Amino acid sequence: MQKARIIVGLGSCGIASGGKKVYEQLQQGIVSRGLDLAIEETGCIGMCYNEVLVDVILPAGKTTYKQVIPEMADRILDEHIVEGRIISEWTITQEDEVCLDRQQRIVLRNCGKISPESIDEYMEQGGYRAIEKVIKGMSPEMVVDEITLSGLRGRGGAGFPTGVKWGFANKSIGDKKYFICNADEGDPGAFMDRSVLEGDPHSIIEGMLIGGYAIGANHGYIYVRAEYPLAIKRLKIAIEQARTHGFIGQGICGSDFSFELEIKEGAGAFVCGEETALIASIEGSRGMPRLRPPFPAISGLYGKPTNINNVETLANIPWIILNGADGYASFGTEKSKGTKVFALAGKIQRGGLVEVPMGMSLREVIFDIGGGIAGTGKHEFKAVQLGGPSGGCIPSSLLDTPVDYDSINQTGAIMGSGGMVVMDNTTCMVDIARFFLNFTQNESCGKCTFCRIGTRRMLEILERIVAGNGLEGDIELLEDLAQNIRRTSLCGLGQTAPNPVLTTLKYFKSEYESHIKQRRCPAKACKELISFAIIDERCKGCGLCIKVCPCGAITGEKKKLHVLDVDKCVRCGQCVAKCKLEAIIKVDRW
Amino acid sequence: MVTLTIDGKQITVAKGTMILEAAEMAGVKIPALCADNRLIGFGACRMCVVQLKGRRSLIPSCFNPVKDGMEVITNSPEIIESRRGQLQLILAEHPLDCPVCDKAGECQLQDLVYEYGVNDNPYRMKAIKKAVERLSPLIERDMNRCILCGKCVRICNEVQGVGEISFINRGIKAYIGTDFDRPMECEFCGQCISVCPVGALNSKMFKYKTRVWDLKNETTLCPYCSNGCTLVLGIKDNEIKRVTGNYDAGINEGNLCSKGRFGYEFVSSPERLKKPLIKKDGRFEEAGWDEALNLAAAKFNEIKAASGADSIGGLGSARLTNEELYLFQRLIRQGIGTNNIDHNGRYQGLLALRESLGACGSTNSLHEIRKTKAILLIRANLNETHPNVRIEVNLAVNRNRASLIVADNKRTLLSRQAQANLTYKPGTEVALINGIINQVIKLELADKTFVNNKTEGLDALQTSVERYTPEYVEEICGVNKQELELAARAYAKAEKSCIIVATGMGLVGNDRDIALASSNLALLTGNVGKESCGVYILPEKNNSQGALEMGAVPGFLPGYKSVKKAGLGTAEMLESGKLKAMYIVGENPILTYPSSKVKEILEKMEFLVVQDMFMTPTAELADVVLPACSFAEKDGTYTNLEQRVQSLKNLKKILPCPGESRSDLEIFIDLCTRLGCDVDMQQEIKAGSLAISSAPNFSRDTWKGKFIPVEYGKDASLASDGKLLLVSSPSHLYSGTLSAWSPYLLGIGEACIELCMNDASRLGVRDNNMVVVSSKNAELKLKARISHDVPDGVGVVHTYPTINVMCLFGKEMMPIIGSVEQVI
Ligand SMILES: Cc1cc2nc3c(=O)[nH]c(=O)nc-3n(C[C@H](O)[C@H](O)[C@H](O)COP(=O)(O)O)c2cc1C
Ligand code: SF4
Ligand code: SF4
Ligand code: SF4
Ligand code: SF4
Ligand code: SF4
Ligand code: SF4
Ligand code: FES
Ligand code: FES
Repeated sequence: MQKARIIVGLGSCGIASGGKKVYEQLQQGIVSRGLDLAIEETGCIGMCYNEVLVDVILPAGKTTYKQVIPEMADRILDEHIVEGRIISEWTITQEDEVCLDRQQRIVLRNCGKISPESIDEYMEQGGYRAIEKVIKGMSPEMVVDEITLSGLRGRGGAGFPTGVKWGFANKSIGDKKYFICNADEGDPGAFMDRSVLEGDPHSIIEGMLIGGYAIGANHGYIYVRAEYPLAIKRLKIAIEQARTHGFIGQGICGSDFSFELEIKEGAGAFVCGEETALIASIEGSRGMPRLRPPFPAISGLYGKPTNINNVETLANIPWIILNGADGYASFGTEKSKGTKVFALAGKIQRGGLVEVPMGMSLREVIFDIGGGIAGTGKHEFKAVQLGGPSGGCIPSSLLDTPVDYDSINQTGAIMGSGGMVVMDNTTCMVDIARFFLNFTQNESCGKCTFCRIGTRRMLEILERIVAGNGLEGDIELLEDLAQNIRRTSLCGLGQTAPNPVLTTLKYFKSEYESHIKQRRCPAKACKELISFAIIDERCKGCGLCIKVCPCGAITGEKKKLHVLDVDKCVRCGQCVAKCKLEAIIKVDRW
Repeated sequence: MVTLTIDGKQITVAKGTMILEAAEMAGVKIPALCADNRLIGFGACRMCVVQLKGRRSLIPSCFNPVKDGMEVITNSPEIIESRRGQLQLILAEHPLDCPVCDKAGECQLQDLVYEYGVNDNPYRMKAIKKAVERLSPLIERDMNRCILCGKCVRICNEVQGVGEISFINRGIKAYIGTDFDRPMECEFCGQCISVCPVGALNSKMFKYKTRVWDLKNETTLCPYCSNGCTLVLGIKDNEIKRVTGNYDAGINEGNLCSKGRFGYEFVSSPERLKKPLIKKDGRFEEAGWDEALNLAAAKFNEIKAASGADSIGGLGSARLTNEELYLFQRLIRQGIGTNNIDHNGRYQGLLALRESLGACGSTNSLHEIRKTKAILLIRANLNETHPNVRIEVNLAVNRNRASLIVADNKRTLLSRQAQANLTYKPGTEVALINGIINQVIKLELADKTFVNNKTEGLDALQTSVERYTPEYVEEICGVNKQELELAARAYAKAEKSCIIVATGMGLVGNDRDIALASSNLALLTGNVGKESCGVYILPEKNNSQGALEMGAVPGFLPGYKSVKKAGLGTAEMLESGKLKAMYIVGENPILTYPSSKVKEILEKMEFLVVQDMFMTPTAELADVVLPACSFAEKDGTYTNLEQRVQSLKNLKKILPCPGESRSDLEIFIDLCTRLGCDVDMQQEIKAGSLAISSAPNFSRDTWKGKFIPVEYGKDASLASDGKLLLVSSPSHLYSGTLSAWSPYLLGIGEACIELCMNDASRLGVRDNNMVVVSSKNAELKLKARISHDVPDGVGVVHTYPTINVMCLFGKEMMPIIGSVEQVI
């Protein structure tokens, strides 16, 4: 029987919600009460909207408290631990549990369950048994075949079959080979890689060991963005532990296989996640994509055969080895096997990480698991941006699209790293395209003319459209540029940069047209195209809006109708948010 | 081989050729803004897109290799449209200020915009204005015109190995710049300018000088170093306006260093001597050629009669042509009758290889270096001494993944790329090489078959290197065992390895011993007589090799034929005071010979003739000064470091000799005649070319390499009592015979002493302080430079054209103990 313990969710999201304070408060309470109780930390379980999460594990069972703040610590200890009474109003709800139940957790199998700083806990869950199995009983080629059979495809964006990639690197001849883990995670909406690194770092190490064994590499690098200090810290601890346990270094598991592992901190440029740029960056050069061929499998890091895989891809590997290719392939669709982690964000009820079998429909992911549109039900679902800045917007009419590589590609979006930004009818599609394009055009490495200058020109066009200065012919110009950028850019960044524009043009062309022709933003989101008005009947003259207005645009005596001066208003929208009676509304400006 | 058609033209090319290159061979022009034969494909501009028959996709031709049966189309409407689109976008960010742009006329962007008739632009211009960088010497950067093709960054990195400039920022804000946007502090080779397809990088020397279409471009040889690069002189109004390279002309593939590219000003310098001068009552007076030459001949004859021919000596220059050198030694040997002839050069290393390998200099050719697998650089700071040999080393290391071992008395720019850095105590090269040989034997890395069949004298070598154990070597050289072993393995295990040693006036060390020790190592590992192996002893000046072959030395006649009795060499001529008269041609020993006594000696001469382009400090002392032509104004040949004989182009017609100046050859012919030895030029040239050596035939059965053991002679001293061990480092500006008259070039170097932080703080010296550096031979005022490249206890004195720092070292040119004190 396990010892009684308390586990605090200390992923980045948990820490951001004040998890450290909660942890300290609980620790102090335990000491001052003299309780025989262990306190541990764990990574993100995916319910980021509920952080800080605290698990209390007693012989009687496990209870999870949500949205814990330091002030709640004493009561949890007193009532639950000492007196044995669960504080039911603080625990996670049935709904929360349901959304966990509908998931299939392979990548996130240990996240939020084990302490990421303990190799023992990882090993209790079957950790490092996969590498042992591989070394003791499988040839590198058998490993390659197993992964190929599992149907696993790269989760870094392109979805290239991992086993096939390993096969190339395995066959490539070189006196030295490298295995790189791509933990650059540049897509601003995605954070599954971070969660795995923070919550289950050993699974990545083990995945890399298996990969290294399969392709014949003895040296690995984890390229992780410097903005992930916690991930780096936990990786370092994990590497040290793995080394002491003989999983890193010479003669692993008593064989003659050896593997060295280093962490490289990336400078945080999106384009450094592109594999050739990443290699250049590790070599100490500017992260700039280079021409392929030669592909990294032939000539990669320092000119040697190199394999690069994404964090999420690698987290699957030990599971596949232990549960068999068939076990993995039993999830998913014909061409997209296994599970995929999505980062739900935007106007969604329950934001966070979810891992679902491939083939589940967007509707199920967003509504059944994510709980639908955030708020009181006043707004409705409009579209979901899948795949981050390289992806595209999928409209509500396509909500039944299954999430698998091919179906998603057909919509014009991409699976990408699995960022899902949910938008409701207050989101302007032209503005969203502008937002993503602004990101990519800033991140272009500057090499390709169309990617560098073309995305800039597209952005300028979008900027003038959202400002109400769109011109006749702008849509055609955008389409032209988009096609050219796609066709003549060197790397994925440029090739996919027009996707948000192309998909919004495909599904929401009328929004573009009303911006250009009528100077009207249907979602009433574009500042230059709206103005604010007070609905006389609703205003009770509470004066809250006067207090927040930064420029004195609202006047009126207490308890009397207030008046809004559109000439003074800078359209910041603060008054709308403040007014409890919804008396202030956005209206078309022109 | 692969056969394909390009726009219907069939062509067969080697496998791996890119479509762009194949098109060039087929005579089909494909526009390409970011491709260059010398650079790795980059794929930035996409101007080079083509299509394959029946397919829609646009593929960049610069990095797609040819395939059998490919049918390439280079000009479909779709392709044209895409290219126009590219150009429109570029123009949306381009100032198009062609009227004031130096590039206009040879600007690839201008030409393409014209060719594709881009006169419409759907994109609003909203270009970000960037400031023009004008603070760097020689190079001006106008990033407004930059199209980010990356060629400058790549050539600086891939070819020069310098990495001074790089892409900065991302997206539309990306530009090419230096760290922290400081002015450039590089070697100013100007290679970046030369590859820029637009007018973003400009030579300050050429700025607003002329429109390029008015230039007459002529091809000739570089007058500076022994690499023997081919230059393209852009001439207008009897003046060289600029120098460029041409990929298709010469062994340098268009690459030039700062001297070749920017060191041309001396040719049109107003200071050029125009008339013969005769000193009367201590003042020079202009004279006619007859008068001057008659006087010279008469005086030489007079002194010869009075004191014997051996009281006269001739000092030539390794910058003269082969023909001139041949004639000069005839003039001295036959016209005057003495073997007192030499040139101011360090050639003991070159001669040593004759003893051991039978080669009269470097054993292999320049371009073989790029294909080798390991390079051992011994005292070869190539960035300074032989910048274009450095390119070969870079190519070998970066493209061919060769391992590099740098053995030097300080860290050099090449150390950054080295697998092993053997920073030895100054003067201990021989002990170090013997130490490597010791390890090669101990680790059984020798090539036994080669040693058995092709060498003699192994036993003596083995006995001699026995004592150079790693411990002993560490004690002497300060290089530890691991590094030594690493070097031994890297060099000996590679499939082909070469050794490169630099020589030159400004270098300290025993050249003969270094060369012999090096050839021992090469022979032991079987690295002689094969492609991309061998020993390179790099001569200093453009015709140092020729000066030996033409017999401008006291001990050899042309073609290395021995003389009965050797005459006096440079050292004795300039230091012993035995001579009564001298004929100095193209040399300025007061500033370039390692002694501060030269002036005194020359002043005492009864009669001194100096032949030069300029009134040098040495010429000031002459009784007769004869004005000579520059390299651009004469015919002749130079022999480069790989013993390739190349011809100058006589450009006298468009670059007239100043005043009455004559080529050295003309002067020699005339003076020979006046000294009573007749010259039949046809015969002379024939004799001269016979003297040019051909490479030894290593594959011949009878060829055998000789192991000639050399010992470390304790000739390196160690500094103590707060003194430093001084060494000299040759500046890339050379001796100054030409560069001293090229002001722009002078601006990119300085005389200084480099010290490490420890020594500097111990001596209370700060960066840029003026210090007095003294040795037992001389005392000099120099600027101090604090550097991380110099080891403790060592002071590296940099040579500079207008100051004689060599005199600190004396004629031995070995590291010497000296002191450094701050000037108060
Ligand atoms: C602009 C750009 C950014 C990328 N960023 C990432 C990233 O942050 N993380 C990642 O794993 N892959 C990223 N990729 C994809 C990688 O190039 C590569 O395909 C991937 O790491 C391969 O691993 P996988 O096969 O396991 O997916 C990026 C690609 C592009 C073009
Ligand atoms: S497509 Fe964009 S990011 Fe990619 S190499 Fe080209 S310029 Fe750089
Ligand atoms: S939108 Fe902002 S500026 Fe306008 S009235 Fe409301 S608070 Fe004031
Ligand atoms: S770079 Fe070319 S196109 Fe630009 S201003 Fe100069 S000449 Fe004109
Ligand atoms: S001048 Fe030469 S070294 Fe300097 S930046 Fe240009 S290419 Fe590089
Ligand atoms: S400065 Fe010239 S060579 Fe360098 S990137 Fe710009 S256009 Fe190309
Ligand atoms: S490397 Fe030598 S020959 Fe070539 S340009 Fe420079 S100085 Fe002249
Ligand atoms: S870390 Fe707590 S659910 Fe994300
Ligand atoms: S020349 Fe091919 S992309 Fe520039």
